[in-house]
Amino acid sequence: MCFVFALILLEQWSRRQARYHHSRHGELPRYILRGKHAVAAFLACLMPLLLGFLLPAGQLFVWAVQTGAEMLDGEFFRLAFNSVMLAMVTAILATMLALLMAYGKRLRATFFIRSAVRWVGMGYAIPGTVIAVGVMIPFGWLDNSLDAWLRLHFNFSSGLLLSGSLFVLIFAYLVRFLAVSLQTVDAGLLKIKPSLEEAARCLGSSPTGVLARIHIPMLRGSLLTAILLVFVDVMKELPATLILRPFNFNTLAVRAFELASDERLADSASAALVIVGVGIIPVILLSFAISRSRKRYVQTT
Amino acid sequence: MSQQVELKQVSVAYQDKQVVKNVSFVLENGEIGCLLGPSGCGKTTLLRAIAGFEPVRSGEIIFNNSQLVSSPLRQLPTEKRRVGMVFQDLALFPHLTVTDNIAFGLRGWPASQRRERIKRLLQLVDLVAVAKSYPHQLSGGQQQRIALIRALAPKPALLLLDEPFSSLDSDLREQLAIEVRALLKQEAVTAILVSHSQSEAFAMADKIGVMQDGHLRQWDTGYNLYHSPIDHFVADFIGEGVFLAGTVIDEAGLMKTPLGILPSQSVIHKGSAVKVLVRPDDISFDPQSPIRAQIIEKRFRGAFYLYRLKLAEGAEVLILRESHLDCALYDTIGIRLNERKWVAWRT
Repeated sequence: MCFVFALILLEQWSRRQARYHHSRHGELPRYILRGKHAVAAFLACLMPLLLGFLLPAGQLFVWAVQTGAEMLDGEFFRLAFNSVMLAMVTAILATMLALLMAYGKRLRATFFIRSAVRWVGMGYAIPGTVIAVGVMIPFGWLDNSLDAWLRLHFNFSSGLLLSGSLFVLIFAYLVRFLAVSLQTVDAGLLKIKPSLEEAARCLGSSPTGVLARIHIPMLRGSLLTAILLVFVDVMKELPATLILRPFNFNTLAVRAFELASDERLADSASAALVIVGVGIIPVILLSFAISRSRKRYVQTT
Repeated sequence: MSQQVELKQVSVAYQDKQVVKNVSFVLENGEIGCLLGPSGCGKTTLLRAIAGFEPVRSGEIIFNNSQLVSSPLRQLPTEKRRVGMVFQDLALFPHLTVTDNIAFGLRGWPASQRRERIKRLLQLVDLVAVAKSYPHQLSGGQQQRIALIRALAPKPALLLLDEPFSSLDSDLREQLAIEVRALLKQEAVTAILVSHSQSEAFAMADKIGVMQDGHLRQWDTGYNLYHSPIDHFVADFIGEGVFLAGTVIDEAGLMKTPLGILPSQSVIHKGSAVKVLVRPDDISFDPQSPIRAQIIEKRFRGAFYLYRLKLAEGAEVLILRESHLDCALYDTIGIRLNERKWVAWRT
């Protein structure tokens, strides 16, 4: 893990001085292949899709059809709802926090703020299990102290208020996946020229106004991408969820894992397939939205 | 509406590097000023300090005699200064139409007044037709005009222009400079322009400040900068001319030079060695004149030829003459000095 930290620091250091600003959201040039080149390119791109996705997904699909009638019960849909809800809440929170941090860094790039934001980005390098234990310790202590204090003075038990609830789970997700949204939002923000911000300031906007009227509209593509990436990551997340989920609370990933580790591979297919499916629908929807928002600003010069 | 701007001993620095050094000037209400200088002289940094984007290291920037906007202890945020700015890259918002770009600074105006203001401004620059277009659909000159009226829309007390014409062809540049001047005068707005082109400065500005290496060398009208430059740098930077060596021969400031005995503008001690600035328009052709010179170089300037002449004693001067009256290279001709007090410095 120290090695990973070192690599991340090295990468950030190497980009320290570089600043790229483009006002133009350029349309990428299109190069049309012909004849045997086209066939070869098509096959080369097909191979990973076929071996990595279509084949395993096909197998899952066959199993899911066989076991579906039995597995798709009310419990299953409740798990699906849990997963989507957790992923959505986390994704939106992570993107909002990322926007706040990236913009804060842009407004006031002091050493302290830059280092703090850099540390936030380290969470992605840490395994989910480690994060789970890591967030459990302080929140467990906080909960126990609060509980003891309340019991002493009010004869009332608050139980495990934070560490026993979804709060700690979402917190752990944020620690782990903020890097993803931060990276995306930061890259998008770098492409907006400072002069646009200054022009808006001259026209009477406060820094908050600039965020609302310039950055958020221009960053729509990046923000949607950030939400999508975190959403998919949370849907798939397993180790931290296993450790931190409240009692009687499950997600699709946990269910698929439990069934699969009981060697009930065919039974786990429905849950697995839904995770894959949920992961793929926003990919398709958002890649359309992103390409559309790019086209809007295509410049001719 | 509009207002006076005063800078008192303003210095601006990035980390340890001082970029603007002790600059002071006053720009009166409704005047157009220009900061002129070679690149890297600190003129853009000074403009950004006036806009409130850069803090000042020392000194004060004062609006309207009394409103302190920048000092080392106080920096009024840009959005509270009522300054409009036209950026070098124009900085039109790519996600908004022309109308929405102009409307950006009109938040809080009643809708009918806002519409009226936008319409009037678009009419002023003759661009009503592109009101619904996005910035990238406009030509460079159109984008330029939209950036200007967007900055003017909220009726700023002070308009700042950072090399606003640098992205345009030189033909368009002078024409736009004149148009923009007319527009600014019509709106009666105080404005400060940053430029490295003296023709742009002469076309636009009432007062011009020549900057070098962070210092403001001279703050004056274009005419005075040209005819009474304060030092060698300004004389050299503005217009054309040569420096002739001479000696002061009496207490009244008469100087002995290769062109004869000349009166000086300033009092210089008798016996001092001086250099005298001689502009091309200080000299006329005169076949009867006893002063003879040989043409050693001629440059076609359209309406004029610029000739470089060599005097009998070896010194060189420049002279302009209508291009109809063409002289041959290496001809010897007679020249006469125009009546004036001459600008000279001790060497």
